[in-house]
Amino acid sequence: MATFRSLWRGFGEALSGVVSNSVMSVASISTVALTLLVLAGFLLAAVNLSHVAGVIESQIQLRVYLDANAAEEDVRQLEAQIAGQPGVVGYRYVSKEEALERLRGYLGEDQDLLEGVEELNPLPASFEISVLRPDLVERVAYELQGRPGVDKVSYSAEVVRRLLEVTNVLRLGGMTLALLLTGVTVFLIANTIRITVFARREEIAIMKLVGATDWYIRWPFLLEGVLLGLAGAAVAALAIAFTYRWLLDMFYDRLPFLPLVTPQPLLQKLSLVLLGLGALVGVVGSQISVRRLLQV
Amino acid sequence: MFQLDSVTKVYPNKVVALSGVSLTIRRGEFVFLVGPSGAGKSTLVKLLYREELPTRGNILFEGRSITRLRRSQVPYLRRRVGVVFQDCKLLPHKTAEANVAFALEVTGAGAREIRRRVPAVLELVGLADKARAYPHELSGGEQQRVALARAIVNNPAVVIADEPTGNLDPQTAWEIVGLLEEINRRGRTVIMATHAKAIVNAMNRRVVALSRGRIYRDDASGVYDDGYL
Ligand SMILES: Nc1ncnc2c1ncn2[C@@H]1O[C@H](COP(=O)(O)OP(=O)(O)OP(=O)(O)O)[C@@H](O)[C@H]1O
Ligand SMILES: [Mg+2]
Repeated sequence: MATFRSLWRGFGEALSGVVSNSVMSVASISTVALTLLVLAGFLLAAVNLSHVAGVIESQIQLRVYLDANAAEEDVRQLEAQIAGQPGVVGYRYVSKEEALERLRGYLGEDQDLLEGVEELNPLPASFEISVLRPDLVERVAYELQGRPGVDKVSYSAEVVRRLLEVTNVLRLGGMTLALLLTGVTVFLIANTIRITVFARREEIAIMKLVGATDWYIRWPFLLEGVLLGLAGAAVAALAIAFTYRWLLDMFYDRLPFLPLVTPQPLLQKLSLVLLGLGALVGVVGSQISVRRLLQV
Repeated sequence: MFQLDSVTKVYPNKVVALSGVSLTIRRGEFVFLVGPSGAGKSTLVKLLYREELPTRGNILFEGRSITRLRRSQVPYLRRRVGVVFQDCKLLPHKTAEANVAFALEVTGAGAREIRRRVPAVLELVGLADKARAYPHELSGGEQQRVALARAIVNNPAVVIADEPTGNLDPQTAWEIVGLLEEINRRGRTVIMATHAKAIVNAMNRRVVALSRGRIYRDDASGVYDDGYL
């Protein structure tokens, strides 16, 4: 029978458990925080990479770089061929001057990088081509490859594929590392709570003899575990929020064109995930430590 | 109330504490459990509230098998069976009052019920003025009274006391037995394991004598006899 009173009792005992073995508690909270930070870091990196990939995919799908010495006639013919390709929904000619202008825009305050390059302008002119569906990109690229006046065809599908590959590796690596760290975390929480359990074993034995249910005994330890887990998750959530905003600021300054994911609502969702995971780790850790105790 | 059917208890260290014990205890009875040290009295008592499980045989409480009770049901058995342990088992860092309240709290009783019942049972065992004292501030007899108060605070159907007068002087021992008698008069079954010959003889109640794990004698109104020693 879980009355309000016994729920309340759990909070007091859980808190006193956390406070009375503070060294172990701090150690557990720190490992929870560290684990979740690693997980969150990898998640944020993966989310941003797949976002970047998505943006690139939707922005432009194909670019045909023109040979520096391409004849005007070749360029005109090429344009006609591009327009005639099935699946091409739009294209645009980007002149050498426009390419330089764009680069200037990207560089923002770092214009000095262009000094001396400007007169030469090594940037090639190109056609930007949008295709109806991503899966048509490769065929169009194949068609245009090697035509007169074409230096090289690059299509974002390849970039996107690479980015997604990196994203997957990041996800997998992050998950594996987080899983390992989760093991350590659960172990530490279980040991922290075992100290409380040990200090109160006599009381627990008597509780059982006078008719306490398993749940009545378990509840305060469960709460202690959840408190440790949530505290660690809160630390991780705060740390990741500050770090992410700081990183975004840095990227906006240096690479303003990089389409990174805005902090909200991403961080809000991430915090909820972290708190949920923290609580879960706390529950598992505490249940491991009381299970043995209840086998009487 | 309790029915034991050829109960045998062998501890993991191969000690046979009880062998083939059959016994029926009816509602409202007052039963003394006597026998020399090591006869198996405490073991028998522990089987009744399922601190131990019998190796063979069956035990019924109010018609239901204790042996086959599901784990989750054990707490409810223990709330119906109030136990005064041989070593009191009071919590040293809780006051007399808190020790008693504790047994009510674990059943999920409300604050109001606890405030009402705890002083009432402390009054009954004559410890109302020591409610705020810690176990180490109490005499052996007073500690036994706290343990008794805790055993009855849940209003159990039966009270089992394992040598509640063990280290007490005759006067104090009699007071404890008087309390058990009072509890019995109020309709509860009382089972008391003891070595106190004088008390057993004077009370003229049912005596179950154990010797080396077997029932040696079972008299409706018996005396303590040393014949089996
Ligand atoms: N937990 C245990 N493990 C192993 N053997 C035990 C255990 N408890 C009791 N015994 C043994 O079982 C036998 C009966 O013990 P029990 O405690 O039931 O005797 P008792 O009649 O209560 O004795 P006393 O009057 O001294 O309290 C003894 O030989 C004892 O050593
Ligand atoms: Mg004994």
